[in-house]
Amino acid sequence: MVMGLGAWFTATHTHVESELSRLLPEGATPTERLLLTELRTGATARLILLALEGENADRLAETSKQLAAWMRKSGAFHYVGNGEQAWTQEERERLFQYRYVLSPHVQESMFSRDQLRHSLEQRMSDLTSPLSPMVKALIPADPTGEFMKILQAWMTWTAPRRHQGVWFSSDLRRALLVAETKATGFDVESQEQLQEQIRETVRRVAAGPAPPHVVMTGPGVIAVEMRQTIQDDVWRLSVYATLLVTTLLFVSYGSVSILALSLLPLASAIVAGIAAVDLAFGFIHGITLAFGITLLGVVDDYPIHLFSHLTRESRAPAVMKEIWPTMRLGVVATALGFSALLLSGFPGLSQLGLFAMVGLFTAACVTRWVLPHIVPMGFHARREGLQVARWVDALTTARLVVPLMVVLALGAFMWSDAPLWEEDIANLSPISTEQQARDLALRNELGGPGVQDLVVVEGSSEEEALQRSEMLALALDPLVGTEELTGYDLAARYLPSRRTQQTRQASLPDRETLERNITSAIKGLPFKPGLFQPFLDAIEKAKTQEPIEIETFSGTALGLKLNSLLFMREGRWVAIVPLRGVTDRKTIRDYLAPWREQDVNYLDLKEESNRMVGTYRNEALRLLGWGLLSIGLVLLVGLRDPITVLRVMLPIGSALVVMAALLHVLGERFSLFHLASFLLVIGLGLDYALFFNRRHGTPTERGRTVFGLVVCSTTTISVFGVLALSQIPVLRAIGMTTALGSLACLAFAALLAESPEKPSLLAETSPE
Amino acid sequence: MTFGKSSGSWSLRLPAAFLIWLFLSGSATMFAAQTSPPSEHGEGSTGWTVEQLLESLAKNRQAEVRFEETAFSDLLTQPLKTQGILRFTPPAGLEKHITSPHDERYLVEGDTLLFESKTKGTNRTLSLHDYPALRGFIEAFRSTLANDVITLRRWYRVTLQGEPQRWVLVLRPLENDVRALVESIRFSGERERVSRIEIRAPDGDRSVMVIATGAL
Repeated sequence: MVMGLGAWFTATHTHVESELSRLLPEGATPTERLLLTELRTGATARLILLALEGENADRLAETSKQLAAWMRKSGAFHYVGNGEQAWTQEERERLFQYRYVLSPHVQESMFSRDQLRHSLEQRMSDLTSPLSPMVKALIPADPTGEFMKILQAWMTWTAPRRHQGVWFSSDLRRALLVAETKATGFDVESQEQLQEQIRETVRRVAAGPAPPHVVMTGPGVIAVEMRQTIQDDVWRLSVYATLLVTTLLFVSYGSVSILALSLLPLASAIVAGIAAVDLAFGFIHGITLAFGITLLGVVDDYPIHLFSHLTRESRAPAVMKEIWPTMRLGVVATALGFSALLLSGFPGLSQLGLFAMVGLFTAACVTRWVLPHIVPMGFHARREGLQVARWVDALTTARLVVPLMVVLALGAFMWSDAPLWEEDIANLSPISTEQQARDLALRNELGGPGVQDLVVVEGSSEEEALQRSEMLALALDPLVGTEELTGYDLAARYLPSRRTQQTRQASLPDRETLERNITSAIKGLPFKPGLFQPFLDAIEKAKTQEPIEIETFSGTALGLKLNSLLFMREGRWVAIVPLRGVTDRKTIRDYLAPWREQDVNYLDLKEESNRMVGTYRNEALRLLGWGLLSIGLVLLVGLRDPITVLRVMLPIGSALVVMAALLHVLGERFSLFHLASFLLVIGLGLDYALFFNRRHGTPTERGRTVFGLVVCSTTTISVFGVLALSQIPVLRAIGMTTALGSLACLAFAALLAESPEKPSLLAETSPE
Repeated sequence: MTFGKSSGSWSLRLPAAFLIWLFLSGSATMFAAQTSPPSEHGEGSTGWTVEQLLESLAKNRQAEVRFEETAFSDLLTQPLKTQGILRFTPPAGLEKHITSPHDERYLVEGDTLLFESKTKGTNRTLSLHDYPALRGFIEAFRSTLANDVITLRRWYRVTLQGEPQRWVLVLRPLENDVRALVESIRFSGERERVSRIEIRAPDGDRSVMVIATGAL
């Protein structure tokens, strides 16, 4: 009934998210948060980079043109660039019209007689070229060459090579396109649809016999591929895990109805977990769901403990009552392990923690109060269990193996010079190395800068951010061209602040002065009289025209660039100034230190993100410590004897050390995901250690306990072993750590268990 | 305002315009000249083909020649003159070195174009692949001198007028990109020697280059 209600609630209310950005950390400082938000939702997050390959260059160029035409017409993109039509006629005219507020060279002295004379001489030499038809048209209205100076100042981006008017890679094997979608990069449904339409269009318009191969990258593309990977992984892994677990259970108990009953706690756990996460977070992420269900595989232990202890004579409720204290202690301890996930700071992991904790308690309650009443009367575990128990007990004679392995493990740590911690955030990303390489290659071919060094300029208004970045530019200019700095990009270069625009306007001469100067400058030069009338008109008009706005460039390549260099987030305006060719980061940092008071911050992105990895890992380490402490406290309360607590914790501690050493030797670098799994291992190990050391009335009963434990741990190891096969680095890390860890815990718990003939240390945990 | 007559491909035009500015601003390019219009002779006589002309030009060409060039523009009240040296290094090297009134060099090597101005202290390199119009323009000279009729005909409609003793080779561009720059290019000469190159722009401006007789 309750489960039915829960299922109804989940089915009708749960919002399953596939937006990956919501799983990422929030960022610690305001600047970090701004950058992360922009990376997720800004123009950069909506880019699709495209390459067409596998055909001859002419056909690729033709396909590129047709594809771009379709994309522009579709209305789904803010901007589509393939090398043609970067500016429309109207945009060109607008740029030309605003040349006197855009050109950095505009100042009063430029319009003096001598400067004008110099400019006119240059224009004269332009006319001696056979190519003059193309620049000639600009001369009467722009004798100082302002338009060309703007273009030169803006040409910091090295455009890709062209063939038949469209962008190509330098070897002419790939036609290149770049597009900004209207949908955000993490709107996976829309992105998937767009990408499918692009592929479909390429197939339709392809000129050759076989359509060119389409290579795509960009946040949206990666999000779609990642979701696909996750879905494939989840489906594949759940099939494997389900098959393995059901086979194991069937082999162990030889009963279909028991198999079905053992799934009841798990099913209720999942339903309760989904409902809880949805209530707390308002959405549940697809990954949380997939991974959470896997984590909850642990709760299959609970019915197994019950079933293993049933005999022909016993009644299920009574048996349950007897094993409950031990099970309860295990449940609480495991839940503490999961609680560390809840506090991890990664929204995804927090969801997972909550999901697992709620599921765990639900499964325990179902096992305790529901299951015993519906177990078929007369069911009992098979006798083979006793044989297994005898083998396991025989292991206690080899308990010296444990300290030996711990010593070996510590030695491995000490002698290894491989790095212990994962310092590079790129290796934690769920993006495959193949995707990363493809992304990098396309970005390089399209001439995008590798962004590592940024100056972030903040302001309360667009104008303030622009003015500050203009002042910053004045400070950076002396460094440009020295070994400290090759160059930088700046929003204010394309969109000067109003103040700068007004200063430039003010420096333009009035019509009479200009006319006098140019008449004087033209003397002795062979220019036709009255030729520069359009120049006089243009200057007069420029003096009073409205300032240029950010909207002037929307829908163009420059607009795309501006949107990534200047944006508003949470009421603050941010201008990003990417630096090129920084050699000594400390010099730049020191040089810009005084600017910090004015909300101008230098960021080394690589260092920043790696620092963030470090911060989260330290956080996880701290949680691991608290987790261990609270588990110890729970045990102390439950067992009421510090020595006994140590005896229970010993196999777990040894198992952790040995497992960590093994992973280290295998080349794993530890991240917070490994640390989270350590907690899980501790929870599982506790369960084993507690049951191994439980008071056993008869050898038969002990046999049942041990048999139950072996079944439990085998299912756990199988489930996490399957997870270790995942293509997603995070899931693989957790799977590997947990599978190895629970194996070590089981083995060490068995090795270090009390010999059967000695009185049990845990006698008092079972009620009389 | 106008930016050239072909519509649409501003993306080509933008860098092309930029490139031209690189080349032009500051100092003179040149082509020296005689003001007399090209003398057009009768239609091609029997047995005298473009192939034959180009072959004989290739056989007898000199590594370096001096030129004098005169540019006429409707913005100006009088023509402008420049002088310099032309060099051809088969198969793909071509150099125009202006020595007066400025020192400037345009050097084509295969796909690369180098612009060097001692007067302005500039030194830039560009890939012709990025500027098809310019590539087409350069092929007019390079293919003609290298006896590459196939490339020449890919870019131009080629007609030959006159006699082997006194001939005119007229090139009219096929591609729109090139047509925005050039209406026609006329090589005139006597026997195996080019004596004059006239370039006409679509708007009526033109330049006339006269090549000096004899080696340097």
